[in-house]
This record gives sequence, structure tokens and C-alpha cells, in this order.
Amino acid sequence: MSYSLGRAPAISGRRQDPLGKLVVVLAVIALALLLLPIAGLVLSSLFSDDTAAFGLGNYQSIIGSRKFVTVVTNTAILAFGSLAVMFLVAIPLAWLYARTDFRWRGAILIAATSQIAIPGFLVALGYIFLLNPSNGLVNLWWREVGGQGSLINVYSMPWIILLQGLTMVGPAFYFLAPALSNVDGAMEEAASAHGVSKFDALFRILLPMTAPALISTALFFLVISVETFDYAGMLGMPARIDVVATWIYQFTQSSMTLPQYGHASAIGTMTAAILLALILVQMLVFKRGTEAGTIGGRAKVASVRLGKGAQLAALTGFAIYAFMGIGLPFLMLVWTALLPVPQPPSLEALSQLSLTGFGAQFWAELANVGGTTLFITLFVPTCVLLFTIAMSWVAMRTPTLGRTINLVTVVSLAVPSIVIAVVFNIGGLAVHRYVPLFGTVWLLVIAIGTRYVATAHRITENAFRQLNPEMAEYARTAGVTSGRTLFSIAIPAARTGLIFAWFWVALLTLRELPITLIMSNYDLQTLASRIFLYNSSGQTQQSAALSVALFAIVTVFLAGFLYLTRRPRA
Amino acid sequence: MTAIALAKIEKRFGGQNGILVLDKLDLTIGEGESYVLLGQSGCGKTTTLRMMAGLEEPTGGEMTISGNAVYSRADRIWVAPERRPIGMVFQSYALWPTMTVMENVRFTLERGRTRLARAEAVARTRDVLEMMQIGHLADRRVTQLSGGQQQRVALARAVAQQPRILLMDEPLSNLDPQLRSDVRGEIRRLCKNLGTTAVIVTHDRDDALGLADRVGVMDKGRILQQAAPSDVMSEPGSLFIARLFGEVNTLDGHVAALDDGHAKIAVASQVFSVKRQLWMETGQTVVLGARPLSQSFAENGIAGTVAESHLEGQMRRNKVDVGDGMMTIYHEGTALPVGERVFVATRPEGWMVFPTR
Repeated sequence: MSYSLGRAPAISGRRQDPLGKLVVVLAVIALALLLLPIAGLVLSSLFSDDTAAFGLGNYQSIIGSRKFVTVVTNTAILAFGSLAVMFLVAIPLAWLYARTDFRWRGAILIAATSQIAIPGFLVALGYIFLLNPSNGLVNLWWREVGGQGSLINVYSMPWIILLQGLTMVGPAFYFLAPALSNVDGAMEEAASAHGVSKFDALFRILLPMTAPALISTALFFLVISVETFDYAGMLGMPARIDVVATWIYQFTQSSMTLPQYGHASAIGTMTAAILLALILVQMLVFKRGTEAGTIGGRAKVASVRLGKGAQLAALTGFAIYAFMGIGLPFLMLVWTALLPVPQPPSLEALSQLSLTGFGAQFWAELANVGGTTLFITLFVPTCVLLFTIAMSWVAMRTPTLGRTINLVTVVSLAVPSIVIAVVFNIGGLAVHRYVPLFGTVWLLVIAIGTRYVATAHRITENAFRQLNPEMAEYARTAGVTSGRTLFSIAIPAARTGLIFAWFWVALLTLRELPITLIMSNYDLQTLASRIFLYNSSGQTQQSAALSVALFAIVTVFLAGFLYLTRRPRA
Repeated sequence: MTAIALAKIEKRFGGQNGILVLDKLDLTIGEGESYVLLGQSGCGKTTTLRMMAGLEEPTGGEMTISGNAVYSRADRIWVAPERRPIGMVFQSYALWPTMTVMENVRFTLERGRTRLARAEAVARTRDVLEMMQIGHLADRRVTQLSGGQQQRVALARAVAQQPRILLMDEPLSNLDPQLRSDVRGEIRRLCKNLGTTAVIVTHDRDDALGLADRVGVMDKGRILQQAAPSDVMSEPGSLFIARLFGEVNTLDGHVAALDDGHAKIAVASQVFSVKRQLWMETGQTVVLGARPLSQSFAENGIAGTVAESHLEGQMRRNKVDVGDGMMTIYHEGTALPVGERVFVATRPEGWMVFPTR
């Protein structure tokens, strides 16, 4: 076979790269979408709601208001309180999963993952059906047996702290379990060989070793805690317990006055500034933490042996957590959906169980709002993924632009969901004459998408980082264009991580409440906003029935997610 | 015809006051030549290769490929790797895991510099795979191949485009020793048959000896010696270079006398005659070196006592204390008892002399 040296010109001409240009355009659009809310937020906070003058009027009004100190105090109490609850449950669970031979470790993983999928407001709703002072099951039963008033009132700060903390256990597990897995298993072996108890080994050896990861997790969830609307919204507002997120909400939803976007933005800007500081500190701690020793080639995987008593105790604890966090709220939703009027379990109640809640009206309702919900749940992750792939690729190929992208992404993480909704509404109103987006599903999609771009970016960046960089370098030496390398080489190679990102955003979209609430209207409703509004107007059976439907949809996506992330068969 | 020329190439990592990895490097490689960059970790050889590929940008100097400027600090020229007439084999092979062997090569031909049509790309792929003796693996996923097979795919992929210059970064380091030797010969034959210029980076001296027309020994960002492999072996420019190619036993001495073509080196009570070098001066302290293979136990020579004697492969490896230091001498046969008095003879043409640093 004859094989001769090519007589091509030494230096080839420049090639067109339309795909590559498209990718850059997408990345720039993504940047703009992230920057707009930040800019819009600050700008609108500087236009006084009362006088329309430019200045710090809104800020003065907020800081000077009577509620300011209360709201800030409440927010801090809720944030730190729920953080404490979260750690109290998540650390033992992560320890059981990562360091012991607990027989139900697989169940812990499923429970933690389910918690990520289940919307917080559904859990809150379940507990409202159980514990609300007027017709919560427990209080109805209490009055039946002769008690006065209500035994337990869920519309109180302790319950908000407990439930919000419990909800954060799922995602926190995903932070803590890997951190604990990374420590050499010989730690516990050395401890037990010297007679140190398992308890001491955990608290005096293991946790101090993983301190950077713990601090980093604490800071991350502190930010999430301030940002979360679901519990404070459903449990706090009825009792006039206000935190930052609900205060902002109230400025935009007052039924008596026009929406006071300026005030809302002022609170939002101040909150975002504090959260940004927390995020930056968290990134510093995280970076330092990952430099510390992690498992090397010879290190042992931990497997602390739990005796029969310990296994039983752990199982009981886990069961309580799973029941309180997942089982009980779900049961309450089903129970309430099957009864015309809320009532505690009794023979009479059992005789009244029926599927009338799932009649024709339910299905019509479901087709309407369910359709919108599904549309958003499929559309948002797809668009977000397109944008984050573009961002991650551009960031890798052009380090200077990459730094800008990362910076903007980090800053956007500090903007609470409710603030994003406010800003896009303001923006939508402002351009309504030219671009009729205000009040449409498209603006909602843009807002939700913008909220999750930063989260998804972390995941896609990670997925690309796992790839051998020499694969793309070889492509360059062979003359393959950037766009072609992304589509034909990088994306297929990283597809598992990218699909993971898609599902993660889909689950987050399904459980989204504040943006949906603020941007919904008569014509535009999702399952989330409908459920919230039914509950606010006392239509418990309807809200419960739709909740069960949402639960079912979530389960389908969750099943897909779990299937995708199952441990590969060896 | 020069294939690649580097002139005063400088590479500094980390800004103005950063680490200087390459220090005014000068290098010329002729068309069709197989040039090996040899050196230890951190000497800058991989950085040099990556700069030839265009994956790293120098911070100073000039570089041309086939007479065309690809980098010039003064004229602000920089040509991206996509436009250079190169093929590259990475140490990790960098095969694309979601594609088969056929697809890895075909994709390069269709979407790379060559932009062949499907039919022609497939035909050429089959040719190249046959040439590399992996035609039967065409439809196998690359993740299912052994290390040696993957390496052939990486090579096939790189040569399929018929590049003027083939760049290889430690192409054999992931292979086991037996396979290494075989593949070494095959790569050499491949490059000669194709007539392509090859630049190979390695830290292994056997790779250098087996693959090179010329070897460039690198240390701390500079080229210490450039010569044919046999010349670098027999006339290394320094003790450091000599040690790269194998063990060297050394003795300290000084130049006792100089005459036409010869020099007399005095070591303790003995005098050795070596080839005269231009830098020698009478009275200058020097290091006298010899490779163990040019030395043996004999009736007379350098006196010493056996300190250690153990089996290594087919031979016995002995450590002999000669007063001035330790020498490593090999012999076949039974172990020598520790403390035995021996004499080490050296073939006269085996001596190497270096100035004392």
C-alpha cells in the first residue's frame, strides 16, 4: 500500500465555525439574562415608590419601618434554627450511610433523593391539614376528646423551623455523604483498637476532620434558608410571622395598594448583598477544604460495625425521619383528598372516603394547570441546559471570558427567587408595549430558567471537568473546529452528567413556588400556584387532590432520576 | 529543508516574575528527521512539544514550521493548532470514548483539517488501520481495547491525516516492557516509511536510542547536547548526560600531562591515558568516568574490596569500594564474598572525562 506525505499547504486557512459562533452567542445571551435581574434589581430599588424620585428613599423607608428589626430577627432565627435541625438529622444519616454497615443504607439514599424532589409547600400543606388550629386533624380530635382550643398550632415559628430544617436534610445529605466518604476508613479502626467509643469517634475525630466541608455546607444552606419561601409563606403568613422572603412578597401582592416594587427591590438588594458575602466566604472555605487530605489509592472504605441494638436504634431514627419528612405529609394529602370535610380517623370518617375529589372538575383542572406545569417542567430544563452547556464550553475555551461567566454566575446565586420574579415582572411591564411578554408563560419560563442557570452551571461545569482535557486538545491539533468538538465529542462523552443536570433542574422546576406565585394570574396558573391559592381560600379537598397529582408527577421524574443515578453494576 | 525551527524560545509561567520553564531555547529539526527530546520530569520537554503543537503560547522568541512563521513575539504572530500541519499522539492517547476505532479515525478525517468526504474517509481509515495491524478492531469501542491497541489507534488517528509533522508525548510510557520494545521498532519503521518529521518526547533512554535520528538532551529548559544517539552515548557532553544513559562509575583525578591527541589523567597512584579534549589544561581537576559494561574484574587494575554482591537478572551486580568511592561492576558467575580484594580493569576506549563542576 503506498502512502505518501501530504502536499497540503503548511499553514491551513482559517475555517468557518458556525456552530462555535452559535455557542458563543448562547453564552452571551445567558450572561445577559443573568445580569439583567441584578441590574434591574438595583435600579428599581433606587426609584422611590412614593415620589418616583431617584435616590435611597426606598431604603430609608424599609430600614426605618417598624417591621424591619422583627423581620431581620425572624429571618435570622429561622435561618440558624433550621440549619441546626438540618445538621441534627443529616449528620447521623450521612454517617450511617458513609461510615457504617447499616443495613438500610440504600433506603437512606432513596429517602434523601426523594426529599429533593418533593416540593416543600406540599410537605407544609400536609402538616397544615394535620395541625392547623381550626380544622387540623389533631386539633379536631383534641376537641372531640374534650380539649379546649388547639393542641398543636402549626402556624408558629418552632414548626416552621422544624419543617424547613427537615426539608433541607435531603440536599444536605448529598453534600455531607461524599465529604464523610473521603476520610480514610482506618480512622475508626484506630479508634476502636484503642477503646474509643463510636460516639466519640464520630464527634471528636471524624467531624473535626471534615470541618471545612461542614462549614461550607452550613454557609451554603444558610443562603438557601434565607431564600426559601415555601414554609414561611404557607405557615408564617397566616400567623403574621414575617421573614425577608415573605415581606418582599407582601410588597408585591397587597390587595389594597399598587405593588410597591421599589420597596421590594430595596429589601432584595440588601438581602442579595449579604447572601453574596456568605457565598464568597463559602467558596473560600470550600476551596481550602478540598485541598485537605482526601482518600488516596491505598485508603480503606469505612465500615463501622453496628451491633444489633445500634442497628435497631438507627433504623428507628431513620424511620421517624422518613415518616415525618415524607410519609406523614403524603398520607395527610391523600387522606384530605379522599374526604369531603377534614376529620380525624374514625369509623365514620372511613365510611365517607370517596373519590369525588377526583371527579370531573379535578381532571379539567388538572388538564389546564397540569398542562402548563408539564410544559414548563420540560421546557425550562432543556433551555437551561442549552445555555449552561454553552457557558461551560466558552468558559473552558476562553479563560478570560470564563472568569466573567463564573463571577456573574456566583453573583446571580445570591438573588433570591422571589426577587427574580419581581424584577422580571417589572421588566415585563416596562417593555410590554414592544414585547408583550408580561403575564405570559414565556416570561415565567425565562424567570424560572434564570433562577436555575447558576445551579445547573455548577453541574454541567463539573460534568465537563471530568473529561480528559487532552481529548479536546487532540481535536484542535487535528483541525476540528470548536463547535464541532463540543457537539460530537464533549457532549456525548459528558452525557450522563448532562442528563443528571436536566433532571435536577426539572425537579427544581416542579417544586418551584415563589416565582410562580408572583407571576401567575387568572390565565396563567401552575399546579403549585393553584394548590397554594386553593389552600388560602379554604378549599382543602381541591388543594389536596391536586397535591396528590403533583406528587404523582414528581414520582415519575424522581424514578427517572433514581434510575439514572443508580450504582452501576460492577 | 527545515521542518521546525525554534529560535530563542522562552516560556514563563505565572506573569513577569513567574517560573522560567524554557530559557532561550534554540532547536532546528530537518524534514523527515526523527528527533527525540530526552530529559527528566520538569525539564520542559513536554512544554516544548506543546508549543510546537500550538497548545501553549511561548512568552518570547520565534518559531517557524516549514519556513512559515507560527509564532513571533516581535511581529505578534500566533497560529492556532487547527491550522498547523501536525498530527499528535498524547500520553493518555486521548481517544474519544463514545466512538469506535473506525469512528475515531474517520471523524478526524471528515471533520478535521482534511475535510474528506465520507467514502474517501472510510477508505483511508481502513488503509491506516490495516497498516497499524488493527483492521480487525475497526468496530470495537475504544474503551474495550488494551493499552497497546489503544496506542495504535491513537497513532492511526494521527497519521491518517498525513501530517508533515508528527508529535508524540511519551508514546510508550503506558506499555509494558516487552510491548515497548516491539512498538518502538514499529514506530521507527512507520515514520521512515511515511517520510514524516517526528518529534518525540520521552524520559526513557531506550526510547531515545531506538527512535531517534538525533537526540536533544534537555535540562532546566535548555538543550544540553544534540547529537545522534550513539554519539550521545559514547561522547556525552557532561556527567549528567552520561548518567541519563546508564550507570557511570567515577573517579576524581587531574590532568597530569598533555600531548598530541592524548591526555594523561592521574588518579591517586595510577595514571590513565584518554583521548585529549579541547578544554583540558595541565593540572586541571577532572572526573574520570566509565560505564560498568566497559569494566570487568581482572588480574590488575584499580584495587578495591567487595562491599556487596547479589544477583540481578542474568548477571551479578557488585559494589566495589575503591577507596575513592563505590564502583558498580557486573560479572557472570558465583557471588563474590564480602571483603574480597579485587582488581577492576577498564577498556581504554571506555573512559570518559569531564571537567569537575
